[in-house]
Amino acid sequence: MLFNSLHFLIFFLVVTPAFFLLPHQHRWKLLLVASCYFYMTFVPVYILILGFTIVVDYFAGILIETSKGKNKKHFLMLSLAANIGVLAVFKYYNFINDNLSSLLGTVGYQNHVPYLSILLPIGLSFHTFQAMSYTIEVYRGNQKAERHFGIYSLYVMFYPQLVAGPIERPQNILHQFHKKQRFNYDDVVEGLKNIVWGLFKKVVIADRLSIYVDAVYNNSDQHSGLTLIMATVFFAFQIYCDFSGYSQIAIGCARVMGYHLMLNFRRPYLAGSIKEFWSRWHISLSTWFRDYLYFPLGGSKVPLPRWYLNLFIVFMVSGLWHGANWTFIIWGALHGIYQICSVSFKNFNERNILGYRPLTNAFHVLLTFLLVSFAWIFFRANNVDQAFSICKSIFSMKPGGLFIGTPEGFAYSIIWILVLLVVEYVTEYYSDSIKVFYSPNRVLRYTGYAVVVLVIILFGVFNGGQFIYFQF
Amino acid sequence: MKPFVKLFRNGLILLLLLFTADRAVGSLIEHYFFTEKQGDSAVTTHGVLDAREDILIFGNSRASHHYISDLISQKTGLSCYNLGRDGMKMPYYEALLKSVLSYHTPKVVILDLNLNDFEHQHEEEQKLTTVFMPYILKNKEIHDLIYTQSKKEFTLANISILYRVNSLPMSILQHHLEIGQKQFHGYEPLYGKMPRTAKPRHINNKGYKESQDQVTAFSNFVKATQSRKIKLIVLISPGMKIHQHNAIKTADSILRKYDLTAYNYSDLFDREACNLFYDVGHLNETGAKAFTDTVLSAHFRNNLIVELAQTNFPIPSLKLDIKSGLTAAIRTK
Repeated sequence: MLFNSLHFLIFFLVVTPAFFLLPHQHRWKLLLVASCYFYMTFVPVYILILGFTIVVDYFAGILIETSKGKNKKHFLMLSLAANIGVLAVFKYYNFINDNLSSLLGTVGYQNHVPYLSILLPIGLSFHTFQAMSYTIEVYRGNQKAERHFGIYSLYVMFYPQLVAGPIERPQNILHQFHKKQRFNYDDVVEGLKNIVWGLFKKVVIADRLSIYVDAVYNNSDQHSGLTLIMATVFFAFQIYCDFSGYSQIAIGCARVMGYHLMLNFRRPYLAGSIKEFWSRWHISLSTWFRDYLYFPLGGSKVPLPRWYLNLFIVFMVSGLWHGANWTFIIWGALHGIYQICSVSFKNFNERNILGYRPLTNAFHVLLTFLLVSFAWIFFRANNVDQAFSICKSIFSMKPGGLFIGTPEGFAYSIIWILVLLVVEYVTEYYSDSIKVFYSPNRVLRYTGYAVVVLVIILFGVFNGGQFIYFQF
Repeated sequence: MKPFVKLFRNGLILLLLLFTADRAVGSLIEHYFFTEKQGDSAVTTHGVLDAREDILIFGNSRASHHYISDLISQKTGLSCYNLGRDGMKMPYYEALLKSVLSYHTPKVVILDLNLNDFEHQHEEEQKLTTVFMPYILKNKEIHDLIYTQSKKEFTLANISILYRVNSLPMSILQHHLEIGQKQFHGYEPLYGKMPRTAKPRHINNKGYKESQDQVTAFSNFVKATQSRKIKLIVLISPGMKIHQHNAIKTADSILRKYDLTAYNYSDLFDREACNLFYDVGHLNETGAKAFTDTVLSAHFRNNLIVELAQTNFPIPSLKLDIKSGLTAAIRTK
């Protein structure tokens, strides 16, 4: 069930009022059943995988808490092995097998290990990481083990963030499921605003851009360097609006019921450095890697070469988390290299190189955007060969005109990107002085709501398909 | 005030505001949409609402670029309109014909069949619903079609006018400002030609597979014309990519039931191809003239025109044959 479908609208309109009508002690049951239904609308049988990790981590949490010494660590390892094992089988098995075949092939051997004919369960990496964060936090003593099996299941399965995050921490969300949520007008309105703005980003911007991006990237050898640059820039905005749109709808759905999920995006394309970009992009994942991988590796409190290695490892793993494909690994490696360069040239970054601070800041924002967009080529390309071929076409400025597709579609794409940039810029720098959705003037506020809804109806692309991040 | 009462009240105000704005803005956009004089939508609008010509041409972009309506009218004395629209396939032609037949019976229908017209097209139904959505309340055939295709779309289109004209404002603006394509009774000329080295290619498309939906739509199309005793001419117009496995066999087997046949002109232009084509799929203005002349001389002989015109129109004499039509067109260029 997609957030941008009529099916979800009906689901939401049934579940939310029912949630408030039920007494507190029964609400978790409703949410759990609703979440199961939500997940099973994709591929029903994969709920068994979810069930397996829930059972393992539930008992692991209790055993970790009640154990002492080495046993505590053993139970954590067991839980992590079960979670990573599920990921390894369903997400990475065929990839590893494929690479093994290629490797053995180069030395004249044939790989006889069979391939698995399985579909990747939707959102597997998201709920696995969320489950792992629970056992790690219990092990670290930051979170008490959850004794209520239903509430723990809900922690992993809570439908708004089940398939594409935000990847929550137990300290933030588990206690909220125990607390009685009262009907709060401000929460409902805030939640609905998030849902509407998320929908705008998804159906008006992301799905519109995807038409152009798909047309170019699926026939990249036939397009000029200029067209490929345009498609790559469009993709940068497409993936941002697609994923942040999803996150906002998820946050909004939870907020309507009184649950506060963590912020996942904070205007990432206004970042002035790669480091800042990662503090604004997919925050729940970047902080997950920071807390559970980067810090345990020693973070920055190690000799310089080791620090560089830590950065590189974290981003490589982040790339691999996204998908079992060399394109994602290269994408992660690129960001690792960017981070290392960013650390190495810290002084340069801080100097006012253009002599006028606002201009220097704008230059840094533009440079960061270009670097991030370049990396997106590897993220979007269908395979490594295509990615390098696109890079070659771009850097050699392969001749040819600019592919427009349908003129109106191209014009809409440009217009909505500009609208997005203006909104993000105003929110970043003038949110205190320019208010529409939060204006004390009711007429202005309601006009703002109406305009956004009407724009969605009039300019939305309603057959745009699923969210990009569902595949991870 | 209790919070849920406040939410209910404010929600109601917002819904009223949305409903009013939808009606006001939607009606305005609809007005400009239905008064378009150029563009793909204008052609479909003509077909759905007002195609009262004697000769109607159906097809996709190849039809719209290959048949010069004014030339056909001038040579036959019968009114003609080209209803070809870019990117469409059989279910669109069928739906458009049925909506025309709901208010008018043309004398001749020309169907420009593509060699790959019976192949499956991804998201055909979605496309059909999107194209016909603005006409849902204008034509009963379209109304029923959208209801059959998607109950969800049908419901949404009945609730919101803006949903019916989704994504159209930019093209409406473009057509009212007369930017871009121009059509003459549906015919859209293309100016330009292929490189000298360009030659027609025969493609061995071994994986050719027909879609039952497309074949059924073709069968329904033929049946609809024959049940109204309309003269149907099924043509395959020239192209530079000629598929070896194609729709002709199946089309012929259906047409044979009505003593009809499909005329294949796909390789009509061979040596002169580079001068007559705009791209591999479409004739340029010169090519269109040559091909239209060919069609006129081969399929609109005097006795047929007399029969069709029922003596209401002055009948010009047609002395063209295939070769002379082509030669004359090239010489003119």
